[in-house]
Amino acid sequence: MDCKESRSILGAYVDGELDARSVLDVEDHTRACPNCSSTLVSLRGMKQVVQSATYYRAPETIVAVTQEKVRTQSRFRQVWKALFFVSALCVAAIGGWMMGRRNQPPRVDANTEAVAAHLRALMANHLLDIKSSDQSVVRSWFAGKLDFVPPVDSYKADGYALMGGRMEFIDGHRSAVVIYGHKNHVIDVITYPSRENEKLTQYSERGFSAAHWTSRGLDYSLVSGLNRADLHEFVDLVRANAYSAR
Amino acid sequence: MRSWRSESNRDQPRFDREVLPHLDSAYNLARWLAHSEHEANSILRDAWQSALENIDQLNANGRLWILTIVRNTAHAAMSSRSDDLSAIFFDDPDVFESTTTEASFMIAADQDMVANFITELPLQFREVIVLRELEHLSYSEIAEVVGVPMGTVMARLHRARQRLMQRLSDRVPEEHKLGL
Repeated sequence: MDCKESRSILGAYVDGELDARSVLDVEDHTRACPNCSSTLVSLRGMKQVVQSATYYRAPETIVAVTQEKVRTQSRFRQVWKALFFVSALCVAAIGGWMMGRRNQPPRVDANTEAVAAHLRALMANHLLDIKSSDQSVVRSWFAGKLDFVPPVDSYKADGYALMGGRMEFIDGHRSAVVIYGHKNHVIDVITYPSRENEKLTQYSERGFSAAHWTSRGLDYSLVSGLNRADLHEFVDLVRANAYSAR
Repeated sequence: MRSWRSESNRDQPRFDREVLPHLDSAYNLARWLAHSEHEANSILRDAWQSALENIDQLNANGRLWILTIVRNTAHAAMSSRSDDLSAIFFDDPDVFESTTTEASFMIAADQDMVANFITELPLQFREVIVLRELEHLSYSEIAEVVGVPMGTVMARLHRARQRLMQRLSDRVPEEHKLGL
């Protein structure tokens, strides 16, 4: 690697955007070349200087204005939604009458939705509607919102700490999500009532590992960034608990 | 705390969850691309409105999505300006030659001065610097927001930094420069 080549990619090196091979090349070169090595120092210095530039946070007035727009918009949308919903219901009713009772929609969609819900919550930093490690607090938060009792348990002794809960809409079901933490990962335990009888399946999607089964009238989905083995351990705990405690 | 009822109207909570948390990012980009606070506010408002109307098109990362909309809105708003249309820029002097120590940069730089140097960059260079150094996006994320290949992102960052380096080292007192 010569100096010209090295200079053109030093920036990417400082940004941590080079592949391993090029990183080694750059490091070899800068060790041997005092010019490029001091350029590297300057680049790092400049990066720091630029990063010290003002980060403009949205002023209160803008926040208020944008939120007001959101609300107005949403009122209009609600009307349209209602109209759409009514017509969709008619179509669904006619369709249902014509086709008779059909099989359940494929489970795959619900699995995808469960993972998507987890991902959305992580990205928007909106994991918890109720934050508490106290089972009874989380249970009573769910109490007024659901027509079933979601399992809120403590696995603290096994290293899975209760963090809280939130609500999601999964596969058309109003669902409870109970969140546990384990080794810097969060696990969503999503439940809703179900009359199906489905065996345990484990799957992974978008880098998350997940599991699904039904047990005692509830449909369970677990979604987490944990590796498969750890998740499996937790699945066993939850399943065992469903049979003993409830 | 959000009530469960609102979940039945699915777009609104979706916007709240996926776009609203990135309001600061959106504003910061608008503010750096615009020439004034007033212009930034108007860019942000237009971008926000457009995001609201098109929330159904959001299919991946809400942050990149709103940043892309802000960026495009800013370009549309500013396309009439001649100063930013000029891609002709400084020649390619190897300004990295005139190196200075890290410490002396810190002595020389104050926030206003840095802001001026960034603001002086033409739009296409300014946006990559802001997305990289203030929003901490990766090259591939910047490529997505700006709509150019990653190689172009790398080249623009390189040239933007050459320019900034030149301006900064002009301000560093002689005695702090490394003799080269």
